[in-house]
Amino acid sequence: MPVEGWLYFIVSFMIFASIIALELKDLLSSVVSVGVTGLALAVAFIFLQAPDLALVQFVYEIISVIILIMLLKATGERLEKEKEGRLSLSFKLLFLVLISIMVIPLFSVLPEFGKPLLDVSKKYLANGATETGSANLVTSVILDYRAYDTLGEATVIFVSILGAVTLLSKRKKHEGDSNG
Amino acid sequence: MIQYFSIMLIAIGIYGLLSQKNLVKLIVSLNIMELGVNIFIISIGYVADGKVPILSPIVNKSSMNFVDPLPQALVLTAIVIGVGVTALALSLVLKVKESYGTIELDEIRGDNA
Repeated sequence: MPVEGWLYFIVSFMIFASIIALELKDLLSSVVSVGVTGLALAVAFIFLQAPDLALVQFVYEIISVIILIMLLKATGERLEKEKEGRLSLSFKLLFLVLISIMVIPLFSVLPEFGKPLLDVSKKYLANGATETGSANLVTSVILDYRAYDTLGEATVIFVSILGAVTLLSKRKKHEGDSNG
Repeated sequence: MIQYFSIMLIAIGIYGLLSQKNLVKLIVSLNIMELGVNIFIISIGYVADGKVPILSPIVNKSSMNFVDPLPQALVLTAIVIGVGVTALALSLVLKVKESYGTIELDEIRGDNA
């Protein structure tokens, strides 16, 4: 079976799981559904010849499911409340079809699937091993040609951790004040 | 065509962001959008019958048919940043729950109008 067939199957499964994640009223099941979507993406990355990404996606999807479940435990929320005036099923389908039609012009610009432009990457593929000494060309891009991107990534992670720690530590102080 | 499927995944995420009222559901739809964008970018860099861009003694350099390593490197960054964004958003949700006692958006508005 060609790669594309498997990809259609996996991405259809991802679409199905994400619709379930949005439609379920139980928040825990919704979080688990989005975790399933992410793990299916890890499998899709293997079919798209990106094993580094598959490993990273696998690990980080599990981390994000764990922190989502920790949040549900901390807040004690389990069920989403029923609302009046929810959108009807026909409206939802109409919305999806509308957005899908709106992106059709995009595909006249994009290169065909399986035939990328490879303008920039030709140089990386030809000289990557000799210039950086890395057998894995993805690593040579991350840590040598585009090292500033990785530095920016580290900065973003640092800032988000700083923000989360600040928010969570204030909460503890506040609780201590109200108790004492 | 596989790119079209990933656009549908992004559309589902946008729809979730517009329609959901629960803060956890909003973060979930943000996650779905992120997954859709990631598979879209990677599928743009896929070469038909391409190989993993890792050199080894088995891979013959003359018949080199690697997939594009550049989108892979950038998406590697995007995945990690996505989890950072999720963690920050979740700590904000915890603060909202603490201050208002609810994680439903319309109830937050109703109490403090």
